[in-house]
Parts: sequence; C-alpha cells; structure tokens
Amino acid sequence: MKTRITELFGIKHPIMLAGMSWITEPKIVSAVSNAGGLGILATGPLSPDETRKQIKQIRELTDKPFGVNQPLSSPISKANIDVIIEEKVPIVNYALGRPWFIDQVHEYGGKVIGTIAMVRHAVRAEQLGCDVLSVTGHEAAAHGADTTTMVLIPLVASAVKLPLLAAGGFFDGRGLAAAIVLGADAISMGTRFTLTKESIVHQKAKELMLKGGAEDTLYSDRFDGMPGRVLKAKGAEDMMNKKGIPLFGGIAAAMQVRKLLKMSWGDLISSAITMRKGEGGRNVFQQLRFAGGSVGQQRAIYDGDTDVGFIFSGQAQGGMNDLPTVAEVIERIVKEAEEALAMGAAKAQGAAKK
Amino acid sequence: MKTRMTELFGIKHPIMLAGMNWLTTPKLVAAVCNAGGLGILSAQQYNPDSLRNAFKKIRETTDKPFGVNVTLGMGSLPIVQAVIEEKVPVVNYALGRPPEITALVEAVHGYGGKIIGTIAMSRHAIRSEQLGADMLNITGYEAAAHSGNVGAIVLVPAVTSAVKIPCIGAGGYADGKGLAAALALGAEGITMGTRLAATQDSEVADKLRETWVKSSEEDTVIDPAFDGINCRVLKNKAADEMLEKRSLPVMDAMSASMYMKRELKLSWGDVIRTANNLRRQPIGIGSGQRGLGSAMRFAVGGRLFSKATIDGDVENGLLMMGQTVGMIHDIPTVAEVIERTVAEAEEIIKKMQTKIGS
Repeated sequence: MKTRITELFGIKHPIMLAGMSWITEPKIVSAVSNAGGLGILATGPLSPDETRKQIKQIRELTDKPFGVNQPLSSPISKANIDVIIEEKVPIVNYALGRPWFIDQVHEYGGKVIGTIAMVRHAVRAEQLGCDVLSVTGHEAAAHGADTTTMVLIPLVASAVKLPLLAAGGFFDGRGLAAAIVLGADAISMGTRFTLTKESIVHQKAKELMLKGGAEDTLYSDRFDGMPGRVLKAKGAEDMMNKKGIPLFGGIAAAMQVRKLLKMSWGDLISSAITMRKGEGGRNVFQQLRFAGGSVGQQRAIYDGDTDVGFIFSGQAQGGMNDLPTVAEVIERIVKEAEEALAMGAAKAQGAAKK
Repeated sequence: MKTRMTELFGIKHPIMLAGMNWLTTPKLVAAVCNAGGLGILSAQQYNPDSLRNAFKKIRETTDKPFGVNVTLGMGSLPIVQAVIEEKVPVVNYALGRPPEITALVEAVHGYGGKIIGTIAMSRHAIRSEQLGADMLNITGYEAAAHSGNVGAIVLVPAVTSAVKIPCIGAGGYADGKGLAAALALGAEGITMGTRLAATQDSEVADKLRETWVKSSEEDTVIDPAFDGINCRVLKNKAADEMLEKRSLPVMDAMSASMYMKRELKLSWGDVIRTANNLRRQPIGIGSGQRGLGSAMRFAVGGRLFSKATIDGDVENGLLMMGQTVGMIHDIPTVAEVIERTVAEAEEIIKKMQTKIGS
C-alpha cells in the first residue's frame, strides 16, 4: 500500500506504532519497523541518558526508519529533545505542547509529527511547520478529546493539507480502509500492538484487555490528570470514585518519578512551576495525579496488577481476541484493508455481497 | 449502489433517515423515500389517531417503502398496535425487553414487514439478531440523542463481525466519505439524522437550520441529565443549567408530565402507566434499571426538547444534536444530500482502490 505517509517516511505499510510510556521499548519499536511499519519509542518516562541508550538499542535492532514520541509537558522534555536531535532520530512525534525544535529536526532531514485531538490544534500544528499530524479520536487509549475518529478525521482532512495518521479505534484492516476513505494516509495503533507477543505488558493485563469489550473502558481525568481512557478494572474504578486530592500518594509518587528521571530536587520544583504556567495550564493537582498515574501504570504494565494500578486501553480492545506477532498484525491488516476496499467497490458498482 | 440494505427494502440508495421526534414529519419522511432512501417517522410524539393520520399523509405523497421508529416499553402498546394495523413496511424499534421485541417481530413479519433493531452495544446486537430483527442500526457515541460510549469506528466493525444480518451505521455520517467508510467497516449503509433535517424539506424554524450550520463538532455534550439516559444535545444555556442542577426535578417533572399529557392527549391512567413503565424499563443502552429519577428527567427533557425543536428556542430548549453537525455547512434539499452522498462515496472508493492497488 502506497500513501503520502509511506512515501514521506520511506516505510512499506501505512501503519504506525503509537508511542506508549513503558510499553513501546526498543524491542517492539524495532519489531514494528522491521515489519514495514513505523515504530515509535516513548521517551516521556525516560531520562536523557536512558533516551540515548534506547535510541542506540533500536539502531542495533533495525536499519529501518523509526521515531520517538515526546510529550512536551514532561519536566525533562527539553533535555530529551536535545538528545533526540543529537541522535538525529528520523521521526519526532510530539504531543501536549508547543514545539520549538521543528527547524532543527528538518535540518538533519528528520520529520516531525504533531499529535492533536481538535481541529483548531491541527491548523496550528500545520502553521508551526509539522510534516504530518497524528489525529486522535475519542476512542483512543490515553489522551483523546471528545470528538470521535469518524467525525474528526474528515474534519481535519478538510482543514489542513498535511498527510494524516488516524489514531483511536483502529485494530483491523477494515479500520485502515475506513481511515483512508475518510482522508487519512495511515493509521496509528496502540492497543492492538500492546496485545502482541512482542509487547512487554504483563500477561495478566493482556488477558484482561482481551476479555474486555469495547464498552469496558473508562474515560476520566482522574488517572493522570488529563482526560484519558483506561481499561475498566478495579484499580481504575477506585481512582474514578476517589474524591479529593491524592496529596500523599502524589508526593510519594513524585519522589519516585524524580528518581526515575534522575532529576534534582531543583529540577522537580522548577518543572512543577513551568508546568503550572505552561500550555494547557496544568495545576498542582493534575501534576500530583500525573505522578500517581506513573506509578499506577507501571504496576499494571510490569506486574499485571490492575487492582491497584491501571493501564491505558482504547475501545479497540473490544475488537481483538488474540495475541499475534507484530508482523502478523501488520500483514493481515494490510491484506484486510485491500479486501475491505474491494468489497466497498463491489457494493458501489452495484453487486451486493454477503 | 447495491447493498444488502437496498435489496432488503427494495430501495435505491443505502441511506436511512433517523427517526427524530418532531423533526421527521410526514413531509420529510416522504422526501427521503422519493429520493431513493428509507424515510423513518418517529412515532414518539404521536397518539394512535394522529399517528394513523401521519401514515396516511406519507402514503399520499410517496408510493415507496417507508418506516416508523417506536421506542418500546414506555406505554408504547397502543402505538405499536396502530403501526401493526397500518402494516407499516419497516418498523425500527429501540430499547424494549425481549418479550415485547418478540411480539413485535412476529406481528410485523406476519404482514410481510421488516424489522430494524437500533442498538449501541455488541451484546444487544446479538440479542436483537436472535429475536428476529432483519437489520441492525448501530448507533455510535457521536450520534445525536441516545447512544452508548463506543465510537462508530470501533462499534461498526465489532458488531458486523458478531452478527450475520445486515447492519447500517448511525452517528457520525453526513457525507460520502462517511458512507464509504461505513461500507469499508462492514456496514451495508448509513443512517443520517441531523444532515437530513438540515435541509429545505424539513419543517422547522429557520433558527434551527442556522444553528445546525453554525455549530461545530465541539458544541455538543452527552449526559444522562437531560432525559434520564445518555443523550447528546447542543451545549446551550438549557443544557448547562440541567448539568448544573443535578437534583431530582420533582416540580419540573410534574408540570412537564401534565404538558406531555396535554400534547399526547394521554389519560391520567396513561401518564401513571408510562411513568411506572419507565421506572422498570431496563435501558437498552448501557445497563441497569431506569429509576423514578430517570423517568422524571425524561418528562422534563421531553418538554424542553419540544421547546427547541418546535418553537425554535435554541437557548432555553434542548436540541438533540450529533457531532456530525461540524460537517454541516449548507441547507440543500433532501434529494441533493442523498445524491451527492452516494456520488461522493462511489468516487472515493473507486479512487482509493486504484491508489491502493498501485
């Protein structure tokens, strides 16, 4: 399948791995790239040293294009972006903030993907110089806004000229075909790749996600401070029902985050201050939730504990019932998409098929 | 375009008009049928006599198949009886418990009619198929009025994989891109509500047409506060007030019930029966029992809906509205909407196939 995105990135299939904190590590990133898609390393939870190390690991595992995803709301985003630029990562996907580095990435021949969930943010990202937009519908795991994929993709496609990655709700080839007819040039999948053999997510969490229906997710800002979608399980439900501010949990978690990202106390405090003032206006409570969320997510991802922790999961979980390899996922989706378009064409040409 | 939907109903285009209270007047229904789609009259604002009269008007203006939408459970028996006696070709039901659905299916099949079940969850789709529906109308989260929490991009492929009967998508469709996407996702057609109401053929206040053209996809809100089950409406003053006022609107509900009684010419017995039925109605969308609070909200919502829809008061009334409103920029005729949707879908699919193949 050839689209503007496969051409621009020099990849074989119009399928991207959505960057997911802790989940998209070098092994799965390189597996997606090696299978002809675009693997994306999530550098949000990584320190600058760790970011550099993992970029090097990916390069040992694949010679295909890959990318990184860096949320710009993160306290260490500046330091991580510096490393990403030094390492000349081919594709830089940012979210949650205003990019200052687009020219620097373009200088070494890299491309920039802006992640957005609203039409007006898409228009702004195009004006800022992004090469591609990742358009996140309400159905997505983690941080989508209210507008669903079915409505958002065509609206963004008519508002901007850039090639689009459709994200939120995709798990099979019918979705890829639909994304393309709606005006996108590729799809981004998170939950589908989380449910593969290569994914490091604990087997128990994978099984719960497979068992969950499309309606078995929760959408709230209680998990990490921003509206986000998670698997419906005890830990997540408790967080939804918990009233008040998770002050002690948040502080304890902030200390863990500091250790993880190797931040000095000064860094932690100054980043807390910038985040308060920063775009999106995250307040202290949201930050505490964010810190608490980091710990909760790792519990689910590494230990499979969804009674205390939680895992981001999209509505797409309702469409899946197996744990294939990354390569199997990509191959069958491309094949199915071609079939879905052929079936649509048969109907359009007046031959009803069962 | 030929799909299992067009074959099933003997219609030209795979496009259905969503039954919408007060909006789907006999004129609009007939306009959709005459343009080759499937027009659906919403029965909810009628009593049996006025409903028969509406069917008569439709039959006077079109000889094409048409349908009626009935919400089961809420004291709907007299309405259902009128529908069956009038042998309406297509009956689209929503909500309802299995015994009610089974009785309806048997009666309608008895005179050669077809049944469309409206659902918003996979498990209800499977149940609807088992109970004998001929087609399913899959309502995504983006739709106007009542839906579940799952978006069309997930729900349509999930349901079409789970059942064998033909399915069409509702919620999120306003143009040919949407129709093409629905076909790719495994559906056999689409339902359009707001897009077909925002036409020259609808009999609404101009204020409503202005509102549809002006509003963006971010101007709607979904909440159970409006009529007791999750309902998507225009985010206006009335909606904001109801979202703020979450306590049980007892006085409001009582005065609203009296208004509904007058409008629908219900007897006091009917009012009490309806309220009682509503309480016990398992809400087909989502889960759990519909309590008295929910029933009261329904009464209040009913009045506010008519305020916006009939009187055109889009500030103080509630207007059901889907996210597709962001795609509506003009007021064409129904025939223009249907023709351009089909033409655009055909063109896109053709273009994509050659593009993908290369």
